[in-house]
Amino acid sequence: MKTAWLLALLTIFSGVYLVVAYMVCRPKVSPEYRAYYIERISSDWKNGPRYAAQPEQGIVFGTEGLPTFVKYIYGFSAHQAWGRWTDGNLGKKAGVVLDQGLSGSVCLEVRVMPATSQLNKEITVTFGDQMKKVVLHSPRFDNYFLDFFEPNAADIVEFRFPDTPPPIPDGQRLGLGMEYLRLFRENCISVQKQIGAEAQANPG
Amino acid sequence: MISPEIAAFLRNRMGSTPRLKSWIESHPEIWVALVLVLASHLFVSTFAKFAHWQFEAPYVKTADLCRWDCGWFRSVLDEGYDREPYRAAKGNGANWGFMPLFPLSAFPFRHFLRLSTLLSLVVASKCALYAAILSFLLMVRERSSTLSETFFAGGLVAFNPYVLYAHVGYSEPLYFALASIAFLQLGKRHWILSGTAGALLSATRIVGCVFSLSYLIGAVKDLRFREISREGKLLILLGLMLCPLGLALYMLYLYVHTGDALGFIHIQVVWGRVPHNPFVETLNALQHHRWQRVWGVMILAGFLTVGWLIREHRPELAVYLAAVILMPLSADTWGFARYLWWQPPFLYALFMLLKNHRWAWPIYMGFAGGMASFMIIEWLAGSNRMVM
Repeated sequence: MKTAWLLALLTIFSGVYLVVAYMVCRPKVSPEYRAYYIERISSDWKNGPRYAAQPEQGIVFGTEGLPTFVKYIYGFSAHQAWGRWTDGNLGKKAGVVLDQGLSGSVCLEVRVMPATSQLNKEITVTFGDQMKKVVLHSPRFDNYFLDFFEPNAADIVEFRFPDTPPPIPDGQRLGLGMEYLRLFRENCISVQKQIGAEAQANPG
Repeated sequence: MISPEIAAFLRNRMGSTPRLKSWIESHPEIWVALVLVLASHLFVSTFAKFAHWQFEAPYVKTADLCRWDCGWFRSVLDEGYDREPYRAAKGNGANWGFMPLFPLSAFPFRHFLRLSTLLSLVVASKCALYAAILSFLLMVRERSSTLSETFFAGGLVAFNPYVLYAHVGYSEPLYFALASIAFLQLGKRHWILSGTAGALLSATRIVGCVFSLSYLIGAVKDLRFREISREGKLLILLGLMLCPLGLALYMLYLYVHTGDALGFIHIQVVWGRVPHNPFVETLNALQHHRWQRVWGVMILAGFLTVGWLIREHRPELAVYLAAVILMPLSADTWGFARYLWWQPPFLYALFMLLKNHRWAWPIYMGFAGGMASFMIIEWLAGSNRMVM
């Protein structure tokens, strides 16, 4: 009789541990939580306050917080007055996750400066299933335009580095310094024409 | 006239007094622990008062000792566990890393005695100190042959350099008491009691789940040297499965409450705790100056103790101590000293060492008393650089 009780208790405990093991493998958490606490690829929890902006107005990385159209970002170090660096300590990828996906023709404009270690290296930029290669030759901030066409709504812009950048004395592994990133729902030729026209209209 | 019932009652009382007296005499640990816990309380209160007189340290009442982690325990007791992180300066903190058993032990003081939450936590930790001293005395009972040795052994707990944590609403004394009981029962082959103490231990601090390893070693040792019935083997297995049960139940709760069963580990990122090589951490500590080096020396002392315990054929204590040293070290050296000084295997080894080298007692007590009083002053000065 006592043996039967012992076996019953052992079975119950085994069940409890199996359930716990399942729960450990399958956390029910938000993607932001997963990025910050579990995968540790994000440097900010909830990325501070939100400011109103459309994808065309973009993310201004020097502003604290994120625009409303962005869910969260990962692979970036903390914001500074001029923008943000991507940090290899947070992984070989840095990305922006949109609150709502974009489909059709999308032009990505990004103003970036490569760290010395990333100069003349090929960096892959993805949007949904599409992939573009970029080589950054300029050691200073420059604007880059990339055309994507996504038949299905895509919600992640990702920058993939060929290798983990080497550490600088403060421990960070700098990849790209980003000032802003904008998404236009048209092709880049039209966008560049518009920007050129605006620049001519406002030469100052 | 006295009724026959009253006469019988008085006869019983008269007869039980010598029995009680002889029982107390044969269990000096009970009153030795009481004397030491009162002396320890007096020691901490006196130095806290000195700090108040000297530099207006904010110590007016006992609850003022509740700071830092005690504040996190307060949040557990008052508000329950957070659903999602929102605390700390960056809004990324949550109280999941503060395991439930210690705040639960303070609950009766708040609920039934109507004490404030902060005072309840401080009183609960002081009461746990009594349990810690008593259980440690029982753990070393066979090694302490005289009353003075019993006092010495209890003094190692009551006046350890980091005794402050037993008076400020931290979980250290409860953890220590449960660990001592678990080892005591393991030594007596009381498998279910040992496993139950292990289960409570794992619900007190994360490292408590390591006791499963010690239990396993104790069980294997026993199985090698004794013929055990099938039922006996099942009992041993049941005890083993009890050991991490407290932690498992807490994980179940966290999953239902927050969605992350490992939230208590993941939240450590808030304090910058990410996995490192513990041996590299040790070398780094030794290469630095000041407190880092002091902690580095303490880490070495901890590893030497592990070696000594192995040599003394106490592998269950050695493995436990090694694991509880390596686990916090794989994050950083922050707060390491208090983890080490609140480990029964470490104090057990220290007791044996000092027992065999009595000349070292005054030197050790001088160091421990000095360090403990310094810690009290630092605590009240508001410095968390070395205490935490």
